[in-house]
Order: sequence, then C-alpha cells, then structure tokens
Amino acid sequence: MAVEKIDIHHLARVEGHGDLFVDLQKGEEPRVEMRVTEGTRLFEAFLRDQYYSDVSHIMSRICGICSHSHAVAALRGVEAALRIEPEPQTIQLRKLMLLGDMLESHALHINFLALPDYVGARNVVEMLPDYSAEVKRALTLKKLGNELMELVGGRHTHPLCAVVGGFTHVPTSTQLHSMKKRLQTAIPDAEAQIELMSSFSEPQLVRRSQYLALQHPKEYPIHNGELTTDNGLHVPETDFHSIIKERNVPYAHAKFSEIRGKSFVVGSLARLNIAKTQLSENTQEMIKKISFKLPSYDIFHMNLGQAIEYLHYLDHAIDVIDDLLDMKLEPSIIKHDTRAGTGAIAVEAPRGVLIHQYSFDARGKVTAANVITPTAMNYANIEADVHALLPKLQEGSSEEAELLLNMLIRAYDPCISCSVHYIHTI
Amino acid sequence: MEYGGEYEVSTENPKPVVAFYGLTCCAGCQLEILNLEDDLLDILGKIDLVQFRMGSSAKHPGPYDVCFVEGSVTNDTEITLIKDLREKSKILVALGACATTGGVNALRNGRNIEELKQSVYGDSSHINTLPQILPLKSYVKVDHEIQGCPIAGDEFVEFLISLLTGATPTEKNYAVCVECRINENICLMKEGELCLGPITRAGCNALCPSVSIPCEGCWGPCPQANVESEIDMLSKKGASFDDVVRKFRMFNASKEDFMAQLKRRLNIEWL
Repeated sequence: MAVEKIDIHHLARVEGHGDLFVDLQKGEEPRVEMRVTEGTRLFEAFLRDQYYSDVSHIMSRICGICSHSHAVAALRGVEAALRIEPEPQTIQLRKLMLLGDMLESHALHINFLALPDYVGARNVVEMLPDYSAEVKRALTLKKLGNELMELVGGRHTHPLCAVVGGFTHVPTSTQLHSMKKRLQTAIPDAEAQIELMSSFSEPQLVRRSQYLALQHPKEYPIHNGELTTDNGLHVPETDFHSIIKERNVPYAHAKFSEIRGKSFVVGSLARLNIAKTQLSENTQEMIKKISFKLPSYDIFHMNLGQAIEYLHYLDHAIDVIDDLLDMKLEPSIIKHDTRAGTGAIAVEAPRGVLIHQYSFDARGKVTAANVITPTAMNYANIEADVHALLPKLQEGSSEEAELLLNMLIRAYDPCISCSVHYIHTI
Repeated sequence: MEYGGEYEVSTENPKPVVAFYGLTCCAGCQLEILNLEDDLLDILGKIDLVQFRMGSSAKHPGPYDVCFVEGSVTNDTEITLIKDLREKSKILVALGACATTGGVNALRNGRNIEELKQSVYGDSSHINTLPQILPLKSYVKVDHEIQGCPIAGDEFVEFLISLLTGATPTEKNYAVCVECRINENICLMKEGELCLGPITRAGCNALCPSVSIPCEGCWGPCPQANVESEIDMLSKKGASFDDVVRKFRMFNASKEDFMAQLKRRLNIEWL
C-alpha cells in the first residue's frame, strides 16, 4: 500500500522539539511541513533594556550545544555596535572557542546522532556490542572539544571569561602546549572517523541547491568573513539583510529563509563547497584518499563533511595555539565607553552561518536585538529536499519512509531550540 | 531499592527505569549528561535509560522510577506534559536553572507578553505562550532539584550514586563564598565587583569568581540568604538601583521570596 501520510512526532536525536508532517494523498498537491513546536523563547524581546556587558552571557543560553558560538557572535555584535576593536590575542582566543564548539558538536552529531541510523541502531548504547571501539573513540573526540572550550572559556557549556573587549582569564603557555599535544594525538582518530563515515554510500539525495558560507581571505571560515554563495553573491556581514529574506509560516515557531526567492543550505557542506581550497594539507590528502569530490550536492554528505571538518579544525586549532604561544598572554580588556549604535556580524557555528545584530542607546542598554540561526536558515531547504524525496518515499513501507526522512533531517544537524526566535527589524 | 529512605523504587528490574525529558530551554543540561564522557558508559550500565529523545529514537510510555526534566513550562502543552510525567514517575527531578528557578526564560516575567510576542514575531496570533515562567515545583511536586545553568556534571553523578545506593542526597546549604574561600580566590566584592556569591547556593565550585567573573546567581538563592545585606553591600560598591534589579533578575526573576525581599528593600511595587 502506498504511503499516504507521514507524521513524525518529536524528532529524535536532534536538539529541541520539532515534527515533520507529509501528506501524499492522491489527487492532492503533496504537502510538506517542518513543524517547529519548541516553545517560544523570546530572547530578542527580553534582551531589551539589558546592559551590553550581560548580552553574551544571556545569549549563550540560546543553545547548550553551540553556546560558545552564540557567545562569540554576541560579543562581536556588541563590539561592532560600540565600535570596539578587539586585540589580536582576543580574536585568536575566540577562534579557539569556536573551534572547540565545532569539535565537540561535530563529534556529538556524527557519532551519537547521525551514525546510529547507518548501523541500524536507535542510540549509541545499542551500537556498543558491535562498535565499542568507535563509541569510545567518539567519546574521546567529543571530550577534546569540550576541554578546548573549558580551557579558553572557563567552562565547556556557557562560557564565562570571554567578555566585551577581551578576556578576564587566559590559559597559561603550559596549558596551551599540553592542549596542542592532545590535538595532535587526536589526528589518527579523526582520520579514522572520516574513513568510517565515507564507508556509507547510501542514502543519497543529489539536488543542486544554493550554498551559503562565510569566506575569509586567509583561512577556512570560522570567526568572520564575507557572506558568500556558491552562485556568485558576496556581501559584507553587516549587509545580511540584502540577501537573506525571511517569511513567517503558520505551523512553526521559527521563520524560514530564502536567498533570491529560493531555499539554501548552510553548514559543513556549504563551507566545504565554498572554501575547500583553504582546508589543511592533512585534510586535503584525506579527501583524495577517500576519493571524495567537491563540490558535492548530496545533502547526506553533511555528515561526512563534518567528519572531514573535524580533522581540519584540529589542524586549525593547532595553528591558532602556535600563534598564541608567540604572544605573551595576559588577561586584557580594552577600555571602552557606551554609545548609541548598531552592529551586525556573522560567525560560522557548527551548523552554519550564525548572525547576531544589536542596537544600543547611549547608556549601553539594548534597544533591539536580532538573531538568525543556521537551523532557521536551513528549514526551507529541508522542506524542498523532502519534496525531492517524495517519489522514493512512495516506493517502500512507511517505516522505511520514516527512517529516510529522519536521516535527511538529522543530516542537517538541526538545533531547534536555537531557531525559535527570530528577526526583529532594526 | 530505596531513595533516601523515603521513596520505594523496588521493581522486578534491578536497574531503575530512567527517563529524560526536555521542556523549553537550551538543552544544555541534557548535554551535560552526554558531556560526562568518562563516566557515561558506566552510568548507562547501571540504569535502564528508556527515554532520552536528544540521544535516542527509542520511546517508552512509562511508568518511570526516575524522571529528569530540564527546561521551563512555557505553554499549555507543557503543563499537560509535566502533570503526566509526575503521575508516571516515582521520583521527579528538576534539572537545571530553567526547571528550578525559571532561568533566563523568566526574564519575560513582569513585562507585557503581547508586546514581547509582537516584537519578535510581528503577527503573533499563532504563538501560544505563557506570560509568567515559574519553577517546575509551582506546577507539580518535585522530589529533588539539581541547580545550575547548566548543571554541574559531578552534582548529577553524586545524586545518581545516592539514588543507586539508597543514601540521602547531600544538599549544599551554603553560599558560593564558601567555595571561593576553599579555592583561595580574591574576593571580587572587595575588588568593587557586583557579585551575588554571598546569597547564591554553592555547587558550581565558584566557577565564575575563579575566572574573575562575578557570580550571577544561576544556582538560585541559598537558604537563609541575607538579601537585605547583599543589597546594601552592592549599593556601597556603587551599584545603582537599576544594576541591583538587573543582577537579581538575571536567573531568579521567578523566585518569589527572593524578589519579594528585593522589592521590600528597594521599596518598589513593580517587577
């Protein structure tokens, strides 16, 4: 019997609460709704009247998994509005926070959230009998990201000592040396993780979409850059409004985004498609070794893409630590004054481009705030992908269709609680 | 199996049936469980974890021996869910600031909800959300609270060990200042910083003050917190009325006793 309706209630192994509804009844136009049911959070609203120095500590609470990305984005947004230029030391330390977030979040997603589907398990515990070495490796790789965040931010979830204008506390050179060694030691494990993820050739969904990532002249994008699409758009971070358009949908507590009237993709595959030449040498060699071709338009390569990025981020973090070891690190906060103004910035978070924008009055109190998360950017593309999968869904049983849809949504690594608050036009 | 001598959890299954649920929040407290990398496999060997949507697609309708709930109740669906979970669970544990103090979610309290919704969503007629965020114990009986934004993994493990061995979970009924002394931190209040350490429950090991960040109160007020004296100290350090209110509200806007003391001291009606 053909599948007529699929209603996945409370998607599992994703962060937050969402449902997917697909209606395939004969004679009707197929209906696909990514229902974002997470309770509303109202961050942008209750942030008003908060003092600029509290903004990053409040905004990191948007998301547990990518708290360091939100914190760095908030600090950069506040500094852009207050016209504060951070010192090189501060920028490098913030890059380590973002890289730690990438390592932890990617290891979690690849192994705990995505991988069970590929090996017929419902969770990592069910994988233990056959994949005990892989699970232990995953725990080690995940912990490494947490330790990097803890070393720089003071805690692995919701960082503490990164503040507007600098850091109240910095790692010692002994700590940095020891972290560098640990990152180097993890390289063989990261390579094995890539080989594992490249061993799965199914499922596939090759569909040419648009891909959006930051582009930076000197490095694989992480801390800042120009908003860039693979089909020729380049705009500064501050001008995100000129390309990203948002619309309300009645069934979701999140807005859906479009570029040039079409859905688009952010995340590992977008970064790889746009900045592949900036990957570390190690990483480029691994890509050759597994015969992986970029650009790729197969959305399921988001998972392999994260494994590839994990290796690159190890190398990137090692480079940043080398830079920091050349500086004499001291806690340092640039003197600054409050002023009225607006600032908008973008960083690369684990799931893709993350935009924060703030306006302040002359006393340093927030008058408006705006966040566009990567997950919210991807929703429209998830729906477009589900439409593209419809013929395949009707071939098998409803259980098979449900699994395929779950795998599709998990490939985007959605962070639903992040996404349920959106634009307030400044 | 017994829990603190008060709760009977004896079942046919020697391992307690455990579930995790998330209400509205950042999911950071469930993540802290996954962040117990070194202990995670040991823990999973000692409990029967039947529901953890963030990490498993397995579903279990209950009943549960122990149910951990993170996040805040923000709408009618979540009220129904928390009441249902209470009925199904022998022991209900509130996990983290959003569940125990309302956390940053409670920053909406005391403001006009329609205006807040409108400012975020524009046309907000499809948004169903409550005007006040309250701790879970305002809705149902909660057997134990694990504090923090996010929780500290070691406090969770300690609670679990108490549960498995029948010991009474320890409560840290003292302030963050005690942990600062143990860590030999320089007092940030003496440095002129506005710190909530003197009135905040310990348990974080004075994480923020140890990296020169004043305490923000995310573990909630400690018992017998001398709020009046804290306000006087903050004022002496140059805090304005506005600073004091902002500090107190950040993680504790829904703690009624606490906010009542603040209102009394500052002689204000609103909040």
